[in-house]
Amino acid sequence: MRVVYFVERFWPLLGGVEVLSAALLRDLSARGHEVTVITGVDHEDLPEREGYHGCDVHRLSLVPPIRERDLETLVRVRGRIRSILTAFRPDVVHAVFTGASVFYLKRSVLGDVPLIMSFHGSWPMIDFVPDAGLAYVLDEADWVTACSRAALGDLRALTPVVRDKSSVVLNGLDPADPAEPGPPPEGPPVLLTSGRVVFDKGFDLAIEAFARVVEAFPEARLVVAGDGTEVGALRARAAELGVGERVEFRGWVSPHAVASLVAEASVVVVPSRLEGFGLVALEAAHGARPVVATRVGGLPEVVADGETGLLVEPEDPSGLAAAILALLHAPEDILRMGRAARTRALELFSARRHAGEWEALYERL
Amino acid sequence: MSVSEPRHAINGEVATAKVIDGEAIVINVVTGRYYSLEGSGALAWTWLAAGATLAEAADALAARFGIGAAQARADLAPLADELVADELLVRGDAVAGPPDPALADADGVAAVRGPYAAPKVVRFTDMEDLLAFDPPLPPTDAELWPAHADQR
Repeated sequence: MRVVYFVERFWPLLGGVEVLSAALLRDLSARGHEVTVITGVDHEDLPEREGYHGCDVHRLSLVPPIRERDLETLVRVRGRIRSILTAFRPDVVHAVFTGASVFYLKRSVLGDVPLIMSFHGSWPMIDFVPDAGLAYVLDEADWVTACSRAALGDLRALTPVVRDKSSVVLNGLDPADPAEPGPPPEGPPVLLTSGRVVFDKGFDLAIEAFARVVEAFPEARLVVAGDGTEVGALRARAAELGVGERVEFRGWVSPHAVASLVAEASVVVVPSRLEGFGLVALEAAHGARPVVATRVGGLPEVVADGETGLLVEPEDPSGLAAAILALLHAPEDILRMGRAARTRALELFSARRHAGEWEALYERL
Repeated sequence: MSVSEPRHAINGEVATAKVIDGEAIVINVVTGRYYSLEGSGALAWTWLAAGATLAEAADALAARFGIGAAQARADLAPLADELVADELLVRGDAVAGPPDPALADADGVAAVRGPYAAPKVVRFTDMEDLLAFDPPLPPTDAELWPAHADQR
């Protein structure tokens, strides 16, 4: 198959979608598919064109002309995309929805090539307007995918047009380190939260819960890995609660560094208010650590309650604290659930399964 | 064709537009809203933005797609009203016209072919939301890049 993979950001930029995309394309290329990547520039020192594991990567200024209302540049970029498509003659265009760049995905650009739009968030993340860009793209796409059953349900609730042309492709990623992970380190418990530090991730709830955990485990630490708009408020709240010294804000960390943070932790906490999938829960499973997560979005599909972690209701710091404490008081459960989580992740969320599902979908269209 | 019909023109105070490969892209540079018209819509935009009356634009559509002028006009009228309401076009007696017939073969417009479908405008009125949807990642640690050069 000849596949054009359209994504606003790509390797070596390192967010969740970027890591998933890179793993998928490495696998597709290894399976013999020809892949051309159309992605943004973002950093001036990245080349306009390079190879990546057999994939031909084109970097174009996708979003800046839209942000700057620069029609001349926008038209040039649009023309370049069309030229790439004309020269490559793809069997399918797989576009990852990341926002404004969907403006380029119109029939006058794509011709009659089937378009798959994949969604990696939970919805609605923006106001859905029936007569606007997002609605247009959902209408135009030949197939729409979501990264979890919950996210698919959200998408189908937005607009009926996707009901008969949509499916779930669960995210898939292999452990960064194939070696069997060890148990949590000896010593005071360490809790880890990781991700973009924004309201939807609910890290404030983790801080509230952590203050209760410290009452039972005064030496416990909470590591917050990530950056975002809420960091200042979280620091202030931790100080107010008297746990400021016990909360470590590590800032943004590369996804490649998450595995070592997971290895340092006893339990990984995912207190999200909205979550399409919950990649950090999968990364915890790779490191054989149980997860305490909220019962929202795709998290119940990634975390098997009572088997690989514990699920609690959202917006409930007491429930979150109780679940964390239940695990910390039962180290044997931490080990048992951690091992079960890793086994389940390798079975259900492997990169091989992920690439296989995409391959089957490409061939079906 | 009625000579008393008002003419249309692009509202140069807020709108900028380009027709390419059979698509008219229009930006309201004040609101940041984006608009797209493909196929017959691109042809309709070309004519209306260049000073056509409804009848002149309908004639252009009818000639390109082999449809009746009455049908073309019926399809075109609501579109023109929408574009005026969205302040992308102005309409009035003082507008200059008629458009140069050579417009039909201009770059971008000549590509408009194929089976006829009524012209429509796609509004990206949610562009600001789309731009804010996935904010840029934090500055990438440049030291990571050489470390992953072997993965290239």
